[in-house]
Amino acid sequence: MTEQLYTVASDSETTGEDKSQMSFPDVAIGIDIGTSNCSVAVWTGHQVELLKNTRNQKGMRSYVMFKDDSLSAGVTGGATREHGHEERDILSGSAIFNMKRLIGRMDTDEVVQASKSLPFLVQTLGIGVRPFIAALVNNMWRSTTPEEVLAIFLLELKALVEMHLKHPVRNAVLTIPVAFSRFQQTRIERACAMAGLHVLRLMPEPTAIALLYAQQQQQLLHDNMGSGIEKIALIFNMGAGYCDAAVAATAGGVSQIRALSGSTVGGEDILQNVMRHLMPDFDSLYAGQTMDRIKSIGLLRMATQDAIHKLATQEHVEINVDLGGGHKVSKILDRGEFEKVNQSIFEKCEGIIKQCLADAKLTPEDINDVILVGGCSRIPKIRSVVLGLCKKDDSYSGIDPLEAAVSGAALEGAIASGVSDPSGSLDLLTIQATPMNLGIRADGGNFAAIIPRNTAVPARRDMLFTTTHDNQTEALIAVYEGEGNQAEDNHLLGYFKITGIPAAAKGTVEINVCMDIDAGNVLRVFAGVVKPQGQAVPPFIEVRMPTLDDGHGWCGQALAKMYGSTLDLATIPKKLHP
Amino acid sequence: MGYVWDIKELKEKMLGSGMPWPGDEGDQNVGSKHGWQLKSVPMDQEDEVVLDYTTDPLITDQGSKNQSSRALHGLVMPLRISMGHHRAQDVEGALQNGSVQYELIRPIKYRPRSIIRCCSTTRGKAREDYYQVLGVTVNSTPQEIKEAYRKLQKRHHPDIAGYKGHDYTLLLNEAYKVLMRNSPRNACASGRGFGRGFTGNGYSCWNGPVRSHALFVDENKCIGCRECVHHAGETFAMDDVLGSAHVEVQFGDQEQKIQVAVESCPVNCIHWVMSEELAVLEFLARPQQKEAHGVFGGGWERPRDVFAAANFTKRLQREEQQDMARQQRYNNGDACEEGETERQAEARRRAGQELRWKRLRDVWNGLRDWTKPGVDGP
Repeated sequence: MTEQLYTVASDSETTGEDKSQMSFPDVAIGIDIGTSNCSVAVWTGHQVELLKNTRNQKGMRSYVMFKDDSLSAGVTGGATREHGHEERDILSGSAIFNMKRLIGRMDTDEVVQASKSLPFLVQTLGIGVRPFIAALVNNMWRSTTPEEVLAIFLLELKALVEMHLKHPVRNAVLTIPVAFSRFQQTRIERACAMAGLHVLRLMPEPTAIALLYAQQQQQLLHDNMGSGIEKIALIFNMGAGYCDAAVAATAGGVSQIRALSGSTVGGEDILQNVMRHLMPDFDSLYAGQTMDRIKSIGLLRMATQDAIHKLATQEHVEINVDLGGGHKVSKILDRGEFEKVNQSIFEKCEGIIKQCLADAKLTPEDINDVILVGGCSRIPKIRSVVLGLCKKDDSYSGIDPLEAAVSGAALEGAIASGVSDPSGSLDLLTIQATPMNLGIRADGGNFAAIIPRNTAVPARRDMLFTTTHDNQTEALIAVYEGEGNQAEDNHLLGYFKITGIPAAAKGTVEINVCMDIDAGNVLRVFAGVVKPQGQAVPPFIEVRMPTLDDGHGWCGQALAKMYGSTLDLATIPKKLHP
Repeated sequence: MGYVWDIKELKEKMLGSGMPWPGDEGDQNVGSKHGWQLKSVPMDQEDEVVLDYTTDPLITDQGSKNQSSRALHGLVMPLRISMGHHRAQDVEGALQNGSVQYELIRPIKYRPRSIIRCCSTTRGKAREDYYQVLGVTVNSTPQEIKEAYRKLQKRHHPDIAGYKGHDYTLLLNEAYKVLMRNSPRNACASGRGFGRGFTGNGYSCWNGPVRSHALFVDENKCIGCRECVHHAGETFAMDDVLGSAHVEVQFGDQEQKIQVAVESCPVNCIHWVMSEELAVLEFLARPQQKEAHGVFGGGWERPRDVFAAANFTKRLQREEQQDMARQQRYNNGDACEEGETERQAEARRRAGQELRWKRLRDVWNGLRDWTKPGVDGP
């Protein structure tokens, strides 16, 4: 890879069943791209194996380093060069990291706003367009995009896997946070396509862990010859960028996701809170990025990170760091103080779990096992919050908190690739659920959910709508995803128009909007007029979502302004049909 | 992506995967084949309409082969489980050989589009259909429903069966949702009157149709003489742990034998009870775990007088339902919701009627189509 850094493969959609895929077993690999760490695993024929990089690490730091004319990602950690990358180099401004938090977000997003204190350049205009991201190369900001960074990283990861397996790799199962919108998922798919990987599945992280748990339970069963008792697990996963919870009911190797919830809080927020606590004038001090400021932030960041890690086992930690330019931090941070600073984050975690239990219609007593995974699960307060809510003394111990997600992804990769194992250790299935409501805009800016969240996938639901004006011949179907009651509070996925509606008094025409999600999590929306019927009605429309490419902040507002009232739809209250 | 299949292709796929194809089964269930409803059916308030975009268009009548030129534009055919013509035995048979029989119900002539909607309302598919989708019986416990669901998912989920499993899995999900939502457990598990574990189903099973009266052994009074087991061994069984007899199979023997058995009981502990009360009585007659206070208490107990206990629980249940209704009203708060409940009641009444008349209408429709076989011919 000297002259061509990466090749951009076709960005086409998934291409049905391949005959070639069946003829030689091309097992999908499992990839867990974390905000801070990344790992990859493969199914070796009888078990899942995590691959190590040249530095003998299983968890590789997620970043891409931009140097004069070369790029190197965290997979090899620059080990092929004369010296490896140190944490100091990563924080020097020439490496891009945290791409998982930035990917597919608009610059009005608070996560993007919070990322402005990172050492590389994140420029925002606050109008709902992509943020401008750049890395420092030879004292110049070189622009890039999160997708590009991720693609470079994945390419290096792919090379690593191919080196191990000694054959080309094409398919991959990736884990994603529950809080990812469908638009963000397409960004991940695009990055994979750029790296020449075909995404077989995008699995929410806790569901990958649920699959691993199902496998362990089934093996336990084989050993004990017990009966197929249903076990309910609460899975709480908190990494650097996201926090997810899921309730999974497991029996006989089938894990059924009862509820999913997630949010964009993570270790990064904890880190920033503590940094602001240590340096109260953090924001004013680091308003603009100059070389020495970047260096100074980097030093503070490293010291804070180190302190947080130590607080997992120690009651208090001493921080002594010279930030240069006359700034110094010397402080003793104890655990109580740390917990007070991050109070809001722990409350959010609590909220996620409560929501998850409520959605699954379960009480803490119903939970058999609590599985804590992710880097942040080592924080004592997080453990006590989660275990306290579930009224458990200890968490499930059979799962490695850092390797669970990627192992689950590799298992799913093997299952979805059609591999069968004679010993029955692949006799597994995850029944996924939709993490967010899906619906359309109706009744003047309201959100009418057609597929409610936590519906088992594959799912298909439909709903009837009617016109709001007399002789209305066109109607706008704007598809949204999210939890808000107002359409504007949710993510816009796409829109299309139904034209040629037979002229009739308002409320008499019936328009059916149907949504279909298949096992690959592809959303299709069908819409058409069902009443009156006859030759005069237009054919149904099928649209694969999301159709929107960018700038959906603007787009929704523009749609509402231009067509909100004229092409509106109204829900038909569910009533007796004659 | 071949989302919409040609019917021939679908048939090949289904046959290839070992699924039965409706037309190949002979004509003995003409009635069911033609028996899908023409009339729309009222929706319950919380029931979603499900439109099946399952297979497309070129579905023709068996009698008029390859009349496929009549493409039904935009008309989509729901893949349906054969309607309530299979009896329980069939279902059990299907369960035993591990496959759930289902068939594609096809219309015999062009039907206007509105039918899609009517036919695909969840209420349109009666509960029986859902039971058949999962291959469980009406008496199955939620646990059994769950197990059947998981077993079928493992065979048909697209992760395992490939894309052809999509439609069937959709059906499974829908059936599971409806059955679990309506399952008696949801209504009763939290009840005050019953401890945990009351499923709303009795322990004894039925031989033949459910009748208005059922047998019940008051196990407190039973002295374990085995007379009843001796006279009607298929119906009664001895529980050697508890030292008392109980009914294993309702009407397991001929009525005469049962009558002899009832009369032979020296302490008259075998009772004829109403079938509705059977589940409660059988549940209460089983020893329940007592709440323990430290080392005191605990163990197992059952009520002295099962019949009095049953009456008491019934009253509790009634009160609870009233409580819940009141709470619901309180939650909803406004007047328009009151109207909805009235409508709901109406919907329930209609649904009940619909179910009752459906069978008749199916037969009638079948007959009508039978007498005019050439109506759709070339």
